[in-house]
Amino acid sequence: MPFYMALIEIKRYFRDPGDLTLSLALPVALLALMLGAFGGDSSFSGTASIVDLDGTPESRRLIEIIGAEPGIDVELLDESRADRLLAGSSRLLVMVVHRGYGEGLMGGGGRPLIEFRQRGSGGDEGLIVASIVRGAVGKQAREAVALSQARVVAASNELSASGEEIERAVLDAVERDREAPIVSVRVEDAGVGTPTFNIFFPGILTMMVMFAVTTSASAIVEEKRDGRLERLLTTRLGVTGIFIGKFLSGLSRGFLQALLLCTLGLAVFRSFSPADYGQIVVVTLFLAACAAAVGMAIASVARTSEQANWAGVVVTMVTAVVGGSFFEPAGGGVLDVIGRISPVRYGNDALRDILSGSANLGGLWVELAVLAGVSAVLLVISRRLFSALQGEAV
Amino acid sequence: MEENWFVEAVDIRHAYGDEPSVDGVSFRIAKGEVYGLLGPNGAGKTTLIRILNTLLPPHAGDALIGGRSVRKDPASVRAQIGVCPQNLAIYEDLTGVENLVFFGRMSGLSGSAARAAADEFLGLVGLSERGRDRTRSYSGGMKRRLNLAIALVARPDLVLLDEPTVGVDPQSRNRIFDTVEALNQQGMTVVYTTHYMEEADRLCDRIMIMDRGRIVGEGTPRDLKEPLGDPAEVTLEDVFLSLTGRNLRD
Repeated sequence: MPFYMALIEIKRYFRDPGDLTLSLALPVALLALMLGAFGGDSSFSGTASIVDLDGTPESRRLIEIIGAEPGIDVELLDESRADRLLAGSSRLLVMVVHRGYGEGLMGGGGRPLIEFRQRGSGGDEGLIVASIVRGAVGKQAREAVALSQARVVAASNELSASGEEIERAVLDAVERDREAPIVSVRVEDAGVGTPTFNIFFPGILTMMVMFAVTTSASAIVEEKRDGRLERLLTTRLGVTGIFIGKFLSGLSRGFLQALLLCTLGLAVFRSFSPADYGQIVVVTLFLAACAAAVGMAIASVARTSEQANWAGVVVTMVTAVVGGSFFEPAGGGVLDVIGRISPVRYGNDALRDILSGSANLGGLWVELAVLAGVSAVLLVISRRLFSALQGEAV
Repeated sequence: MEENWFVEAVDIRHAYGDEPSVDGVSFRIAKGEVYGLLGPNGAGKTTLIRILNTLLPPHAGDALIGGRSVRKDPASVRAQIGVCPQNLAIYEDLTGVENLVFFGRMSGLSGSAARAAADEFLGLVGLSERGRDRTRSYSGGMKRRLNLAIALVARPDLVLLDEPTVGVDPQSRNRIFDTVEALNQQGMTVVYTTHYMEEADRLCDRIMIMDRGRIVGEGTPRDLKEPLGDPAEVTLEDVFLSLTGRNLRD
C-alpha cells in the first residue's frame, strides 16, 4: 500500500503543471546557466588595448603580431583616451608602446619600452592579454635578434647577399614557422572545462536533491489541511504506512529531478563517463532518501504548511551551505568540522570523489552508510514524534 | 436483535484538559442498524466519532466494534470501518475513479477489486458519467457524493458518516439518503451524525442525543417523541430542544 500511495503522489506531481514546470525547469535552467558560464568554446578571447607612442614599423609589427594571436582583438587608443578609460574602470589594462621601441629593438639596450597601465591586477582578461603580449614582444625580440645575428654572420663571412636579402630570408623563415611550426600544439575538445564543472556540479545536484526536504515536510500537513489525513489514518494503511508512502514519494520526486540533471550532465557536458553516471545516480538516490527523511522529521512536528515550508527551506539552505554545496570548505577549518553534521557534505564528498576519479562506489561506503543511517534514524524518530504528538493533533 | 450487537461502547470517557468532552457514555448498536448521533455543538459527538474510528484513544472505558477493541486492537477495527468525514477528504487533482481506487487500495482491496468497486459505487452515488473527470471540476454536491462513496468503497461492516449532507442541494441529499438506505438493506451498520433533524427522523432506526459529553436521550424516533405528545405531531427538533435546552452553545 505505501508503494501505491507513493505512485499516486508521483501521478499527482506530474499532473500539477506549475509544480512540474518549476521543479523540472529549475535543474534545466541551472544546467543551462552552467553551460553558458563554463561550456561552449573553451578557448580564450579578449581585447588588447594598445597606445602606440612609437609609431615605427617595429611597433606596428608588434601590434600585428599581437593581433595575429588566436582570440585576441586589438583596440588602438590615444594616450589621453586610454587614461580616461582606465580612470573610469572601462579598461583595466592598457599596453603603452613608448617612443624609442623600434630603435631599442634594433639597437638593444634593455630599456623598459613596453608599459602596462592597469587598475588593480588588471582583471582576469587583462592578465591573460598581458601574458600574450609578453609572448608577442618576446617573439618580436627573437626575430630582431635572429636578424641581427644573421647580418653579423653575413658581414663576418663576407657573403655576397645584401642586407635586404638577408632580412627577407630571415623574415620568410619566421613566416614559414608561423604558418607551419616545427613544433605545434594540438587542442582536442574533450568536453567543457572539467575541473570547474566538477566543482559546481555536485553542489547544484545536491541542492536539487535537498528540495525533497521541503516537498516531504509539507506532505503530511497538506493532507491534514485538506482533511484527508484523518481518512487515511482510518484505513488499513495506518500511520507507519502513511509515513513510508510519503517518504517514498518525497524520495522519488527529489530523485527524479536529480536524475534529469545527471542525464543532462552526461549528454550535454560529457564531463563524466556512463559508468560514473551510474555511480552518481546511486549516490543521488541515497541523498534523496536522506532529504526525504529530513522532510518527514519536519512533517512530524509541523502544524501548518507555512511552518513546514519555512523549516524545509531553512534546513535545506543551512545543510547545503555547511555541507559545501556552494564552496568546498578548507580542510581542518571550523566550517569543515561543522559541515560533518550535514548529510549534504557526505553527498558532495562522494560526488566529487567520483567526478575526480579518486574513488568508486566501493570506496565510498562510509559516505553511503552515513546517508543511509541518517535516513533510517530520522524516519524512526519522526514516526515516534508523530505518534507522540498526534493525540490531539490529527 | 439484542444478541447481535455490532458496536458495544462501555463507559467511554475523554477530556481535553480538565474539561470532559465524553463523560461516561455507554451504548450498543445492532448489526444492520442505522444509529443517529445528535447533539448541539460541543456536545462531544465529534470526540465520540473519533474514538470509534480509532483516531483518538479513550481515556477510560472501551468500545468493541465487531468484537474488536478500539483501544487494544485499532488496526482490526480499522479493517471493518469506513469513514465519511465532514470535510471533503478527496484529491482534487485525481478523477473520481482514481480517488475511489486509491482509497479502496488503502482499505485493502486488490487493484481489480478496487476498480470494480469504484465503478459500482460511482453508479450508486450518480457519478458514473463524471467518473473520469478530475474532481476539481465537480460541484459541491458531486464532491459530497464522492466523499460518501469513498467511505463505502471497501464495503465496510460499519460506516461512520459525519454530517454527510452539509451544504448540498435537495437532489444530492436525496441521493445520499438513497445510498445509505440501499447499503443498510444489504446489512451495513451506519452511525450517522447530523444537525438536520428530519434526516435523522427519516434514516435512523435509533437515535442518541448527547449534551455536554453525556447521553440525554436514546431510542427510536417514536420512543423519543412520545413523552412530548402524539408522535405524528411532535418533531424530532421538539425532542432535541426539550432535551438540550434553547441556550446558544457557540
